[in-house]
Amino acid sequence: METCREISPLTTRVADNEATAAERGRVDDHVRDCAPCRRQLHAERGARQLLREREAGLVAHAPLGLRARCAATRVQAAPPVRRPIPLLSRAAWPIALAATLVLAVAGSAFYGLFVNPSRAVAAQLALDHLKCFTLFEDPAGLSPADVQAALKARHGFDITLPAGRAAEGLRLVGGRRCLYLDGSIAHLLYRKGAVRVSLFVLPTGEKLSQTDLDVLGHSAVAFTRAGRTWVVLARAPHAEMEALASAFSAIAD
Amino acid sequence: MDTALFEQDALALVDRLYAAALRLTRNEADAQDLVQDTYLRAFRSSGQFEPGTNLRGWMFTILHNTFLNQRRDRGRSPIDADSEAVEQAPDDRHASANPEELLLRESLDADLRAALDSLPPTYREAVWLRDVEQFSYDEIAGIVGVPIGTVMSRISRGRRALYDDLVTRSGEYARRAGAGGEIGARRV
Repeated sequence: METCREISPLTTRVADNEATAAERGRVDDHVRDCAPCRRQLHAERGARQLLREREAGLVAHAPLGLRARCAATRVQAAPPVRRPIPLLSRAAWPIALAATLVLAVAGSAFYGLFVNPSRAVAAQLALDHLKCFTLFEDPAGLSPADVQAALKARHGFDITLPAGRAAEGLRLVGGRRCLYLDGSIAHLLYRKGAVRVSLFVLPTGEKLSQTDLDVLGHSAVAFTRAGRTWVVLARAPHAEMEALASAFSAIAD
Repeated sequence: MDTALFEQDALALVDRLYAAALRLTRNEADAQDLVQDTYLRAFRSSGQFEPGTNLRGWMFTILHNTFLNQRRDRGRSPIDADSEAVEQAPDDRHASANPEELLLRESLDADLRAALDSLPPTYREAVWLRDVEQFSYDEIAGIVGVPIGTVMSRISRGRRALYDDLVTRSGEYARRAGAGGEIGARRV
C-alpha cells in the first residue's frame, strides 16, 4: 500500500476529476484502507462542490459607481499627448496672419466678457465643453445611474441626472466635475447624433442672463430646476438649443 | 488589439474582480480601491497584453499583484508574511472529524463567506481562484506566482480547512435547532 505522502498530491486532482484512470485507481486503493485520506478526499469534494453550487451567491455585483470609476481610469492611464510643433513654412504665413486677425477680434470680444459676468461664465462653459469632449468623451455611452453615483461618490454632487431618452436622441457619453467656479459645477456630456451637447449644473444662486449666453460660436440656454441653474450648450442654432433645453427641463422635472 | 475592445472586455470582468477583491481585502471600501487601482494599472499596461491570450487571467494577475503592493505600502503583507509558515505548518487532516453532509449543504452563503474569510490568505485565494473562478492549476500558478505543487497544496489544505469550519458551524446550528433555535429561519 502506498503511503499517505505519496497519495496526498493526487487527492486534489481526483476531487477535481482531473486525475488519470491510473491515478484514480491508486487513490481508490489507498483510501479504502486509510480513513484520514478518505476524509481528506471527502472534504475536498464537499468543499469544491459547495463553492461551485454557491458561486452565484458568492460573486457580489460591483457597486454601480465602481464600474464608472474603473472606466474613468482610462483617462488617468492615457499617456499625455505630445504633438511636435512644426516650424512655420513660408506657405503658412497667410494662415498665420489670418489667425492673428482672428485672435485680435476674439480678444476684443473677450474684453466684453470681463465686464459681463453671464458672458464670462458662458465663455468658460464653452471652453470646458470643447476641452471635455476632446478628452473625456466615452463613445460607448454611459449609464446615467452610474455617472450619477460616481459624481456623488467622488465629488459630492447630489443631483438627479436627466436620463438620455431615445425620444430626444440624447446619449450620455461622459460626466465630470468642471473645475471652474471652485469645482462646484457638474458637467454632463451628451451626444445628439453628431452634435456634442453639454449640460452644466451650476450651484444654487448662479443667475445667468439669457441674452448673453451665445459665445465663441456656441449657443447656450439656461433654465432653473430643483433649485439649481442648468445650462445646455452646443454648437447649434439657438432655436435648436431652446428645444433641447425644453427636453432636458422636462426630464429634470 | 483594438483599444476600445480591450477596455470593453476588461470592464466586463468588474463583478468577478470585485468579488475576488472582497475576499482578499474582506472590506468593501478596500475592495473598491483595489479594483479601481487594478483597472488603472491594466489600462496603463494594455500595450503589454497579447491579443488572443487569457485576458481574465491577466486581469486577475494584476489584481493579485496590486493587492500585494497595496498591503506592502501599508506596512504589512499578510500573504508574504504568513505564506511560508502556512506552507510548512503540520497538516492536521488526520485529526478526527465527523462530516455532516446534509448540514454542510444547508450552510448559508454568509457562513460560507465567513468560513472563506477565516482561511489563511494564501489558502483563501487559491480556493477562490480554483473553485469559484475555475482557473486551472497552471493559470493559478501564473496568477499568484508560485509553483503548481504549491498551488495544489494550498487548494487541498484550504478546502479541508473550509470544510472543517463549515462542519463545525453546521454542528452549532444542529445544536441550536435541537434546542428550539433559529435554524429554520436562517436556512436558504
